[in-house]
Amino acid sequence: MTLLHVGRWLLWLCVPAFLEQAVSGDLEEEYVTAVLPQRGSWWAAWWYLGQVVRSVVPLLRMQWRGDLPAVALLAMVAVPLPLALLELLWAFVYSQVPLKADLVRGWQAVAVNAAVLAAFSATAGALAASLPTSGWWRAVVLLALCELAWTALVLAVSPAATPRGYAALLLLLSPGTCLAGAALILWRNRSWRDES
Amino acid sequence: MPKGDALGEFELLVLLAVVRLADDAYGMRVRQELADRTRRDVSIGAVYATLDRLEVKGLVRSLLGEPTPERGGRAKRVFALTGEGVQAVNRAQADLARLTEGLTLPLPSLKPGGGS
Repeated sequence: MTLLHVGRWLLWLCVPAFLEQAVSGDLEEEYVTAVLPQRGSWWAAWWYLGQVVRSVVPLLRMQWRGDLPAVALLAMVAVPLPLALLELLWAFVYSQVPLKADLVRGWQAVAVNAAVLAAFSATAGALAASLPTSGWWRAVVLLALCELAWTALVLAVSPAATPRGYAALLLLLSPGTCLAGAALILWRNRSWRDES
Repeated sequence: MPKGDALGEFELLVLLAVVRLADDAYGMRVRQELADRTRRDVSIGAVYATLDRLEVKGLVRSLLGEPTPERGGRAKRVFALTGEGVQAVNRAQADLARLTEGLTLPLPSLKPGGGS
């Protein structure tokens, strides 16, 4: 993946759907007609990425009038709430056990946490994919990234010990099941369209 | 005039760039016009955020243009001032003229720190 690909992907993620053609077209035009011929491909790719990085905040602010509040709320309900409750529950159980020097989470506890997180996250992904918007895929990817960040944050501040394997499992599971939930909705919608 | 309708400095610059560019006023050209004439290297996101705000205020309107190959087949969004936009620019210009009337410009530069 080149710098240009990173820039284009980041732009796609941040730009509101109603401005996607205008903003990406303008950057593409200036890149192709002005920056690339004058400065060469290496510098031009950095210029493109720089423009996108500097545009992230104003573009996301514009998105805030669109789907972003719904995405942020979904991410909040899908990951930090259930995960924080489960972590607190484990911390409470741990505090009640005497002589617990070598006590680790049993596989049952890990399985319950993973299942709850996966269910919430997949439901949120399915809801994001159902948003009545032209940029619903962008909303789903933003949601998956929000969920990843929330999972990392909750694990980082958790009162219970978080082994690396357990943390890695949840960090993979939350965005993965979110995307899976969205894909399921897409598949279902296509099936309905094909049938009708 | 309600406080929220007042033009910010950057908003006024963007409006003037749109006037100067006439039929060619789209994001990239506005950005280049600002860079050429004011030596401000602003991001494309900041330009569009301002144009979007001006459109919400009713000072500019936009139309989708034709897609072109150098844009990867994407359409331009071309901006133009509305009647309210023209009035806002004229009002800002008149305010500036009244405030600078009788002053010798450019002002003599001061030492850093504000002392004379």
